[in-house]
Amino acid sequence: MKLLQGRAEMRLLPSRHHFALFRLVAYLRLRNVTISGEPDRVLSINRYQSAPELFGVGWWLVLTVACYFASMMRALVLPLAIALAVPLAWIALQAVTVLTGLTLAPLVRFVARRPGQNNIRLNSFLVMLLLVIAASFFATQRTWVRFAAWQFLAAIALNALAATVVFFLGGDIARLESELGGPTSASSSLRSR
Amino acid sequence: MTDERRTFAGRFKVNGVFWRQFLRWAVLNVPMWLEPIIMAWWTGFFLLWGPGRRGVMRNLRAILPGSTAAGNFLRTYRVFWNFAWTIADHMRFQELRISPDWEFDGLENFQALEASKGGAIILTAHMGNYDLGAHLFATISDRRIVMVRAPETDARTREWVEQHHDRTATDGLNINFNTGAGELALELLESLQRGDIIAIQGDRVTPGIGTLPAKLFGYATEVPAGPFALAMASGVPIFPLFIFRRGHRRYRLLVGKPFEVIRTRNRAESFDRAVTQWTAELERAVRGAWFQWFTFQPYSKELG
Repeated sequence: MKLLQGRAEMRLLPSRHHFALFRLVAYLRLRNVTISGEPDRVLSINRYQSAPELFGVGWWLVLTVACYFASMMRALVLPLAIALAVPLAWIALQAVTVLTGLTLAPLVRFVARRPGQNNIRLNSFLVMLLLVIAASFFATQRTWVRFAAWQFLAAIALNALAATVVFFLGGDIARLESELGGPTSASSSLRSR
Repeated sequence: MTDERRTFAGRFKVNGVFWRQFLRWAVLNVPMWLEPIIMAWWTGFFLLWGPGRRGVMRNLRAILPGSTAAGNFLRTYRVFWNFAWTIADHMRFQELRISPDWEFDGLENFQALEASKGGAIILTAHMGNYDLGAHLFATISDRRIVMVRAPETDARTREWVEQHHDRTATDGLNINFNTGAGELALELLESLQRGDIIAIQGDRVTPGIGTLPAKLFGYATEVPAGPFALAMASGVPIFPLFIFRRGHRRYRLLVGKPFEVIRTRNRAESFDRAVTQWTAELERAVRGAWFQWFTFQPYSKELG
């Protein structure tokens, strides 16, 4: 567990973001922020601390998958199809997560001979892979749904590009975080257990 | 056969062990970027839990005079939403040691509590993430903290929770399950005399424990007698402490001014004065954050 004493502005530390695109944006924003004053809070350093990122991605995925479902309800008028598709997509994403968590994740662990109970990264990869496969299918359709699929694939490509940039900026990001008392600065850590 | 069936079905009741195991599984398997949508869905699902929903709505009627039933139904969703996040954050801390962010209010009182050499009682409520607060305190402080919790009502859940606590324990934090009046009293008194900090929830009574009469939002209620009796017997101060959820993985720890339960010839009057101080603090906290007071039964018989 990594905790550090800091100010509200330090919530922008790239280490507190998950996706490369958000890490890059956080880094760019952090470069223009001046942090002064005594620490007034304890900040947690982990990849899942950004609310806009996690809420944004979650609902964006629901809406994207809802477009896929709506496109399959050809017998219904579009507004009604979308109204039905949103809860369907909402359930489907959860069902897929449960299914991969109960079947694929243990299977992959068994085959790779890596026992353990924390399947978050593995499941994240598997669910995202299934979403990419679904998007690849819908992107080939001739209806409006291809735009929904393409924006998903474009976002994935953009994130991959951001990951490359973040990789090359790794030293700069670490230096900036360290200057602000971030995770690479051992002295500022409140306590690490 | 019928008994076996009933026992199996009992796992799926709202306080059954299935939901604890399912939460643990979800914390270890769900991609974090799907968590918000899953929370939103399951919060809606648990609104089907009639007794809990009605309990919260009745309490809201007392906390927010003039509020409508329809409004309180929507507010109940917010209470359940916050509850879902707090138990998930606690489970995540236990399993993955991922802590949320913390802000402090009443820092001078918090520092006084940490710096005091003798024992102290933290009196808290079923608000925000009281479990996680105790873990945080044990992590950043050198003081030993003993947390007293009401046991789960379901036997299988109780067994599971106790085993889970043992397996995921934090150094410096000892959790005791209060299983009956007076059972823990001597042990806790010894702890206070050793200089430990005892954390107790003072807003809800469980069957079998001693109580004191109180008024909350104008309605008659009862609070546990234990913390006040312990404070009087040991002469240690009581620190009111509340932990509010401020947003996604973000909490605020509010420490109020300490007060003492002064021993006088009239014990009832001493208790009465202390209980009044406590309920004033509790009312202030609940009024400001009604959406995270996790009391799922009417807190007063007058509301039932």
